[in-house]
Parts: sequence; structure tokens; C-alpha cells
Amino acid sequence: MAPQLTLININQSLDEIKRVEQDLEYWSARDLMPYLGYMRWEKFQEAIKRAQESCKKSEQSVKNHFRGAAKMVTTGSGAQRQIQDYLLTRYACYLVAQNGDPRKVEIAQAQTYFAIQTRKQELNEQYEIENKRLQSRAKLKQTEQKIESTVYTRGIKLPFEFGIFKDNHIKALYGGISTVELKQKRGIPLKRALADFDTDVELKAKDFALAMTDHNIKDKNLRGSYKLNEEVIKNSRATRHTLLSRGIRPESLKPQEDLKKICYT
Amino acid sequence: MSDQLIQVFEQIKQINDYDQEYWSARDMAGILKYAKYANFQEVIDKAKQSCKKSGQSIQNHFADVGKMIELGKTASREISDIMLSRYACYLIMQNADPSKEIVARGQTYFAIQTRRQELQDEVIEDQKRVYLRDEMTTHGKHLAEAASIAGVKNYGVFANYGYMGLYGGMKMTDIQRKKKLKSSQSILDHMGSEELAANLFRTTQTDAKIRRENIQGEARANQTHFEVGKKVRQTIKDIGGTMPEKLPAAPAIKESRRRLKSFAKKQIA
Repeated sequence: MAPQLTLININQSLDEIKRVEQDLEYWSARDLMPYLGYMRWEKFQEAIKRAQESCKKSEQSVKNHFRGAAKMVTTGSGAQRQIQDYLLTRYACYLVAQNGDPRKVEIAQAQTYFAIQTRKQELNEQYEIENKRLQSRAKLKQTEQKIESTVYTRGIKLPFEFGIFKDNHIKALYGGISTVELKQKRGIPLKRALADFDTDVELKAKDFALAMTDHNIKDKNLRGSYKLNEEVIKNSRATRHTLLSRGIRPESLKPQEDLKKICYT
Repeated sequence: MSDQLIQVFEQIKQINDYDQEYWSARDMAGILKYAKYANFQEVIDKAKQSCKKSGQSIQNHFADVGKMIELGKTASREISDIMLSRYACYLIMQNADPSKEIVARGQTYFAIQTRRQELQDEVIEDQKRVYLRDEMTTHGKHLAEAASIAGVKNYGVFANYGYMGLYGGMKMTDIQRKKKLKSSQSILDHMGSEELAANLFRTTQTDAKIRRENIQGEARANQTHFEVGKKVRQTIKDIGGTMPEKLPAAPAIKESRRRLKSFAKKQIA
């Protein structure tokens, strides 16, 4: 049978030896040393030095994260003696573990733990981004349906007429590039919806432009294919200007993972 | 932050014939600013050590391969390379030279992401604990009712029979002592989700058994509670789980409730 691996969780170890002062948690390097598998202070100091270097190069304050301190110990004869210590923040502890000797089981397991936790967090973040995109996509669909029924009673009835209306919206938003051209540029199958590959900001921009159009059509009581198309072009162009003024060029954004795929996985 | 490193890292990712992601060690040496591959090999060796000492297979995460490089216009030569898994790369980043800024920033990134995940885990454990603790209150009441119908007069004794079954003979006060809790501290308020769930199972099963089999008499009710507890204990043992008395005492449930409240506020804000 393979030896069972129980990951020594550095978080649990740190909980055991945590000290708290004025609501701030910190750790004594001397306390931490055995938990990371070190017997000798001199060796452990090498790991601390590397961690300090890492801290400095990350532009964090070494002084704040590794506070020099002295620890009183009682020697064999009963006399009191001062030994060197550091008071570490959690960040410092994590850097020390990453910079320790990986031949030690404790260090190796801590490094694996960091790899796993980091990956979990990355996947959480990815999931959040995907979730946002899905929500924005659903919202855009609603707005599209709403405007479709708004223009239907005002002069855009046939499916091909609405197709032109939507293409005008895309062209105005993307600086003259049509829906078909954009699909080709982004490698999206012609039968698929462009929006399924949009970034979140594009989905929101389209939603905004169409929502303004819907509002104005009703507010100004616009009628007839010409006026309706003119309105959607104006609003889409204005949205494009806003994006450009903030340094976002929508046609240069990279296509994202297919939302249909995300839905089903 | 080191989003930059991670972005570049994702860009140099490759996909093999089995649709698995991997990274070339030569490419990794490049993004971590190792001019000499020989120096980078020391880092790889450290990462391999770390992998092995964590009980993971080196072969699975570091696969030796050749890489063709172009020499001038016509000639090409094969140099040694290693196909690295994501895990291998993360170990390499942790074991590389921290005096390089890109490495240092990578290490800070690992510290931050780890902490974020830990806080996320904490919220999940808090949610489980609070949910299960409240369930214990509800089902404890149902059990008390069933016990009362069966003729139990001393509910404290009845409760202890359940604990003795589940905790290998320990009574409530023994558990308190074992977990270094004060006599004023409720053991249920200091159980983690795993232990709470075991107790909830004991409670609901005893409740159902007493009612279903219409068990009558204080002694028989006590015995039933003990036996169900013992069965749950045996099940934990069979699965290879930790015995409930060995699970560490958790901080008071009040803290979890408070944390969840402030977390909910943050979500809204």
C-alpha cells in the first residue's frame, strides 16, 4: 500500500503558535523553526535571509514583516540568556516556508500546500469572471428582446430588417466593422452569436448602447426604419467614444472562451 | 503585483496530444530570467526534491524530453528539455532565487493567493458549522420529545449515553476535559463541522429509531442512544476517519456567526 500522505497544513501549525497583540497576529521565528523541520537556528536563518530578500524585491518593508527581537531563555545552569529572534507577520512566515530547504518534509509539504491553495484561488477567480460574463450575457439577451419588440411596433418588423438594425449597432460600436467581418477576424463560426465570445466589458457596452436606444425611441416617440436605425447608430457610436476615451478599443479585444461551453461544464 | 508573471506564464503554456497543459523547462528558465540553463537546473532539482518529499511522483510532474532548436538557416540540434506540470512550475517558482525580482513577486503572489483561499475556506467552514449547529438545536428538540414519549425522565443521563457510544465511553464532562473546555462552555458550540455532522447523525438516527420501533422505558431508550452512537463511531473507524474526541476544539460558534455577518456585509457593500 502506498504511504498515506497527510499534508501538514502550515495554516494549522501557525494557528497553534500564533501570538496576538492589539488585534495583530504575529509569530516568533524561534517558535516557527521546529514546525518547518529546522533543528539549528543558523540553518534556519539562511531561509529567513532568503525570505527577507524576497520581501525586499517585492517592494515590501522588511522591517515591518521581520521585526528583530530578543528572546529570553533559561540555560542549563538556570541563568537567563538573551537569544536572537524575529517577530514575523503571516506573509513573512509564508515566504520563509517557500524559501526553506525542500529536502525537509515540512518545507516540501508547505510548498505543495501553497501550490494547491494558489491554484484553488485562481480557479475561484476564473469562475467568478465566467459567472460575471454569463450574467452580462443573459442581461444583454433581455435587452435585445426588449428592443426587438420596441422597434417591431414602430417599423422594423421583418427578421432581415432587425438584422440590419443590429448590424448597424455593431458597425457603429466597432468602428465600421460588420458582424460577419468581426466573426471572421475573431475566428468565430458564422452561425454562432458574436456575444457568446465577448469580454464582459463588450457585453456591458452593447447592453448600455441598446438600453439607451430603447429609452430614447420611446421617449422621443421615434418611428420608421430610418429614424430607428439612426438612433441605434448614434448611441452605439457614443458608447464607442466612451470606450476609446478610456483606452479600450473594442475591436482589438481578444475573443473569450465560448460561453456555451462554460454553461455546460 | 505579479499578475505580470502569471500572464506570461499562461501565455507560454502548451497543450500535449492528450489535451493536458504543460510547460517547457527552457521556457520557464527564460521567464524567470535565468540566463544559464545550468543554474536553472539547480532550481529544478530543488523542486523535484520538494515534489518527492510531498509524496508526489517526480515522473508525473517532470518528464524529460528533447527540444529541437534552429541553428542558423538549415541546421537544427536537439537539446534536453523537461515537460513540466503546473504543480512542478509552482514548485519551481517557490524554489527559484528570490533575489530576482520576478521570482520574489511570484512568491508574494503565492502568499497572497494562499491567504485568500484560506479565508475562503474559513467562510465555508463557518457556514457549515453554523448550519449544522442550528440543525443540532432543532433535532435535539425532536430527540428530547421522542425520549420523553419513551419515558425518559433524566434527559442529562440519556444524552450522556449517546455521547458514551459515540466517544468511546466518554461522558459530556469527559469530552469537555479532553478538549480543554471550561465546564461553562457547551461542547456543541466548540465542535467543527465534521464532529457536528457525526453528532447530528447520531441524534437523527436515535430519534427515528425510538419512534419507529416504539421503544419504551428509560433504560431501553438510553441503551438505544448508546448503540446508535457506537454504530456511528464504528462507521467513522471503518472509513478511516478521526475519532470525534481527537478532533480539535473549534473556537466558539459565536465567532463564526460574527464572521459570517461581517462577510455578508462586505458582500453587499
